Amino acid sequence: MRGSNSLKMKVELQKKRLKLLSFAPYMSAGFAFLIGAIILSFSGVDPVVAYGVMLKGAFGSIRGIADTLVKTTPLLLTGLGVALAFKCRIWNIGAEGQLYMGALGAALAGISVIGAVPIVGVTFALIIGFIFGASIGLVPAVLKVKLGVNEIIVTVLLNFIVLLFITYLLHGPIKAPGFNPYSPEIFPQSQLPIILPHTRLHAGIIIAALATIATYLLLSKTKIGFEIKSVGANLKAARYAGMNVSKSILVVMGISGGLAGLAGAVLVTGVQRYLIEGISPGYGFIAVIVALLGRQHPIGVSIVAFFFAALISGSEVMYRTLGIPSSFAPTLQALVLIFVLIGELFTRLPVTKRGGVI
Amino acid sequence: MNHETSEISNITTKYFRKFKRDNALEQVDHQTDTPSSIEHDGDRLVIMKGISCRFGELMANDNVNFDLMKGEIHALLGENGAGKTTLMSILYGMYQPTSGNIYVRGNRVAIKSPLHAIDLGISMVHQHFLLTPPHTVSENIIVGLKTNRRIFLDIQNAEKKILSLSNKYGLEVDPNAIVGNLSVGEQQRVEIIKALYRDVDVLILDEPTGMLTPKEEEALFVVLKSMVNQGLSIIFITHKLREVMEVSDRVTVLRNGNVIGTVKTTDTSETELARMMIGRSFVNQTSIESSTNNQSDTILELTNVYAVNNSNVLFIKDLSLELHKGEILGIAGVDGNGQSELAELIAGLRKMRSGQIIMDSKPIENISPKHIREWGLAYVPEDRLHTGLILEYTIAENLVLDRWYAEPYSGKLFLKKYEMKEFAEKMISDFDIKITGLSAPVRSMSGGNLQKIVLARELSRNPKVLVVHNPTRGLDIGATEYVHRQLIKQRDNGVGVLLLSLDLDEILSISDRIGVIYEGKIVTIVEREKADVDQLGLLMGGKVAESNL
Amino acid sequence: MVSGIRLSTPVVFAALGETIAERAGVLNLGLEGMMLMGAFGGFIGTYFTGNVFVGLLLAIFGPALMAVLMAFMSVTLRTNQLVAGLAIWLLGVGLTALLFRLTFGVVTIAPKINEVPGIDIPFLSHIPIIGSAIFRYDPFVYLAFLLVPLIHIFLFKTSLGLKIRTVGENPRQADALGVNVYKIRYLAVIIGGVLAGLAGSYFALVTTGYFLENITAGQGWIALAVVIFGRWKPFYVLLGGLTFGFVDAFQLGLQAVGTAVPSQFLLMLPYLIPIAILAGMYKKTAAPAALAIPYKRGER
Repeated sequence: MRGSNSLKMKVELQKKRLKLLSFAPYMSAGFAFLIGAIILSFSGVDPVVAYGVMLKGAFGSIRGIADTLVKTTPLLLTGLGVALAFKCRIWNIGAEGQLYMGALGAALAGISVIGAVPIVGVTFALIIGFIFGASIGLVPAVLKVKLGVNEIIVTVLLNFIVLLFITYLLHGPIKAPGFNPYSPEIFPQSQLPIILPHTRLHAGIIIAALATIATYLLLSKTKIGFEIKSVGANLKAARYAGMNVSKSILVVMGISGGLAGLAGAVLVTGVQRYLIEGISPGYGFIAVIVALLGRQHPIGVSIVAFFFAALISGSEVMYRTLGIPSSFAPTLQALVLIFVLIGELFTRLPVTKRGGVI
Repeated sequence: MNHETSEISNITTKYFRKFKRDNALEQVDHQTDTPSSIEHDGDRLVIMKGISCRFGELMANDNVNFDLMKGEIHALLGENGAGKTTLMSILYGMYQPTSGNIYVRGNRVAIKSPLHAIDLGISMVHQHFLLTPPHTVSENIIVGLKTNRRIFLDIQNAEKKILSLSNKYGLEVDPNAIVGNLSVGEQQRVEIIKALYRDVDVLILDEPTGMLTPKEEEALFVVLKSMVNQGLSIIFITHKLREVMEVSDRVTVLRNGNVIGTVKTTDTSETELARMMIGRSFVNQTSIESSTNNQSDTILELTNVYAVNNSNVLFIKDLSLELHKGEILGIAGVDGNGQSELAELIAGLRKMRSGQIIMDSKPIENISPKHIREWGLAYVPEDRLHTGLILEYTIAENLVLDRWYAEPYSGKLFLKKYEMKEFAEKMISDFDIKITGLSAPVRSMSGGNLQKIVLARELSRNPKVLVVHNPTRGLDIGATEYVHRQLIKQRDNGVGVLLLSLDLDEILSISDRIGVIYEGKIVTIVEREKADVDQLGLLMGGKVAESNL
Repeated sequence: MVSGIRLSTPVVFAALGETIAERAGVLNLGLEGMMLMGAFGGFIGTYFTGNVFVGLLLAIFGPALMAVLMAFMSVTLRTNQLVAGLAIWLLGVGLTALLFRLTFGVVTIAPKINEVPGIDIPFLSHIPIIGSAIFRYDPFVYLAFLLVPLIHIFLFKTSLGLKIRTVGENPRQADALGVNVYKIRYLAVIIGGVLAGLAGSYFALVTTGYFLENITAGQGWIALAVVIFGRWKPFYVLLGGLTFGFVDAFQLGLQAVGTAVPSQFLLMLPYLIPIAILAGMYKKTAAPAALAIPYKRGER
């Protein structure tokens, strides 16, 4: 019958497209690197040498890989949180603020009495970080559920509010003695142990890996995960299936904020040992890009987070050896994203949801 | 003109012609297929000849001929899917026909866009208004137009023109009012003035009375008549026979994309129009046996139900019906008369203003869909792609959308994937569903198979009441027959089946009793043997049945 | 108070531009990146030619290009506007720092240009006390104040402005009436880019005379908040921008004095207020109805 023939053709076309789709990200990344190479050569640097340094810097040595992994951790955690929210079509642009709240929580927990207890201390700090992040993450969720307020606006604005709050605290109530706006250093018992000697690789990467697995299990195997995905995929059908939309929104923002908070906690307990402004170079925002490029799937997010982290650490090495400014990394990241988005035009990759954001 | 300048003028003419090719009034110098008289008949403003429009598999318009005479109200009548809106959308430049020609005032044209249509003097008032609520009436009307004050808006002049149009045609509007605060009737007046403002002389109205009160309807008809007196010509899309008889000069009936006929309104009757619209001389199809159940136990009852639609307009008006165990009650009607709202009311997806719904002796007003399902309702929605299924999900996931939260398909926290898979495999075999893969998103499956998934899910609950809305829309013959057999099977098992369908053939072939829904009310219910197609057609078109008076 | 107005000027520029873009339905999270590009362009242009006007031209050029890219992604490709905006932001941050470093290398003495001086408005600036306070600003400030009523008139009293507003509320209506939705959105975004570029150039050309990485220090994000605070209306946007500027100035003043007053809480107000407003009007937001929703003709 005519109908089924054209359907067969459609399925064939789709299979071919899917094959092409899987190459698209590589091609986009390729284009991005090409543009980067052009910029480099315009300023008198040999791109091949530069990229070589970058690669070696990110992967070529134990220290390099360790550094990359250290950077992967917060990016992955925030990326997971944002991806989870996006899966439910909740646009959480507030991961940066949630991260800082978590960092605050960990910094406070790490100087408290409990923070001095071995093993318990660090666990406590991480949990408090998660809780702080989750609490701030719930604010836009509650506003959306109860009052229908747009979460994009609230999460963006909350970032500022949190950052200002942190600044206030760091200049006042929780300032360590001395001139600098740091919080006091947390107890050693609250610090994440280094797991690879002679590097800075701390146990945070394990936590991030666990979080990845947990998120994967949540989404694919649990009832609440099923609800979250359904609400995000098709609100009408989810409602008809008797799913509680409000509950999904609250849960998702709680976990999303919590994961970002966990990232902040990891930064405090594993990297800095105290809270300071600027502890995060915008991980919360980059996480949005990571979440999207990773197609909101935990595995995808971890790969992209690793890749982006490699870009950052590799470019740091580029700076040290070749003097190429470290802002090369965000440039490349932006280019990769832009080319992937453009690439969608040709392969009709479902990287973005059609039909609206709000 | 010396050689050089003639060269230049040749080149410029060539370029000019290139631009003119895309221009509206393409003068046809060398057409060979123009029949002699029609296009040059000064009275015919618009002629559409041999228009065909294909959307994928579907022929929305098949070789349609239509014309509009100056100063007439020409009704375009037909059921849903007859092709009325498509045809007018072509005239308004929103779609391009796959074949055929359009002539406006004697010139062949290719109408590329709405703006182009407006340039030609044709404007359309859509069924669903295109207005910006926070803006004023004037702002809504003049957006996009050039003004005399160069870049500035000329609200004062606009207001003057709006008021003059308003007075001329009796369309009361306040140019300063905020559109969001206006009633539906007022908004429609704004829409009409918006169309007239652009100095058009052909106005297309698409189902204009859908959301109007009877009073507003009458007011509209007065306006329309006044308009033609002032020189306008009107095309009026509708499925309501009464309106045709009351207001039009001529009527063209479409069915399944074909023109059945064009007649002068005074030469015809509602009965004849209904027959043309529906098109069957009913042959009593006993291919499917009637129910041998003589049960008249009522399993579902609606009494005096009132409910609003999504635009907050009262759409279900004093609806009552009774569904018995072991029967198929088929409700016929043209789309937009409340079928969706009725189905959603029963399924718990829509709240009612007043009235009662009782299923199996339990009232189900304002009960959640989940509970209504648990008490024995199965629902196959019309919109299977958006309400019935989640296309990104696998077949197993879709099959448990109604029962995922309880044993055996999930425990306290986790889903039980193995049990889900087993259930899916059983359903696939029981219902003969052709899948592309157990872990593939169902989006890749055919319409018939998608419908099977929904049916499988709903029927596997052994319901007491089954509500199906347009169950075979978009399905091929094989799938359609399959669905019908399933419905009969349920009926034979004692289930009460409420079949809402736009396809009269379908209703006639498998229903035990047949009813018609019109403007939110059930206007009749008859046994199948006693059904008279002509009568049904009339009722679908709005004629009040004698027996109901 | 003087500094308050100077501090608010870039924010006001950027917010006005973003108001136009958002009125057309496009949410541009990349504002910060565009401002940085404006600062960079303005600096480079002035540094290498000594001519402020070249600097201004360059300050507009870069962000305008970025705006075209943003519009391309948001309007033509119909991608998620949030992500497209963030990509632009990252690009701005990265590219400006990168290009600066590549141009100048690592320098001990930062390259500097002469700041644009204040203009002495004749007569008015001689009014005792307030004269020298109010009427000696650099031209940007006056331009900003001038722009507010101009943009108000543009949006609400011109036919192009009506087209923009309709496109942002009901693009289908605009389309059916012959308005080119895509073109209008492109235009609005580009205007936003131009103004963002002007905003950014202020930092280099007036405030400091330098270009530093991240010289805009988050003002682009503040501008986004100001647009919401100002309910997408130019005069209120100005008010919002001024509020930020004054609070900022106040806070800086306090820091100079050394008080322990938590000025941060004051600074938070401009962010809390929009949230409170939105929460309070939960039924009807003042936001353009089609904000951040991609438009495709023929979608029913």
